[in-house]
Amino acid sequence: MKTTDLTITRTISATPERVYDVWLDAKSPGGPWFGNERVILDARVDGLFHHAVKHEGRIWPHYGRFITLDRGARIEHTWMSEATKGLETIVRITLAERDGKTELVLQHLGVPDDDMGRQHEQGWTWMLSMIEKRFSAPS
Amino acid sequence: MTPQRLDQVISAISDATRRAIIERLRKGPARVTDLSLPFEMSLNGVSKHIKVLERAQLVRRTRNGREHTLELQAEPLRAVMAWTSRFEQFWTERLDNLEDFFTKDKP
Repeated sequence: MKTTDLTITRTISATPERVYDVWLDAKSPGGPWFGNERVILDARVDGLFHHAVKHEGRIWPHYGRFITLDRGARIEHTWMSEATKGLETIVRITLAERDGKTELVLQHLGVPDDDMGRQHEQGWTWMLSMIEKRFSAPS
Repeated sequence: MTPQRLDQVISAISDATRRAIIERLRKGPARVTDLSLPFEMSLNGVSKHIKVLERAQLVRRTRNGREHTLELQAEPLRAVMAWTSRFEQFWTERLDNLEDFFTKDKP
């Protein structure tokens, strides 16, 4: 299956340790687990998680296993859901201190890239470039 | 956006001529006759492509007498974009929450 990687970078107004703690706190509104229908979170290496995300009127279960937990520096875990089509993808969060803030790099590696089908590949690539121009930099 | 609408929009932009028409309309509305000038095909041929774009609601036609003007409607592309990059949408929402959390956390 064709896969792709996703990278999103953000600067967060807190220390890497604070960001790390909030990210792994299932009860914190700042964390990715907050507000889900059900959350099981065992944040230790080889610990497992499950969370059920309500989206488009139904529940999407997610499962994973923590691989790396380095406070203030890195969180890495596997990630499987209906959207990964059975593939064990990797979510990697890298934290670095920048002028008293945190540069957070979120990578989601190995996600399926076949939603559009091969016949639409040309249109898909073009659309991405066009939308970037159209919506990211208003003319 | 329904799967049928997605198919319609994606199919519409899978053709080089139709993408060129959209690119031209990004610069602003254009008359059908002017739009067909750069293409090495008949006005009838270009009209067929325009009809596909209209059906996909990517282009809107206004009539002023015999003059037909076309205007780009980019909203369906935004909807397709949101659907195709579901992982990006998912993580963007969560990172927004994280950012908001620390912004509101400040005294």
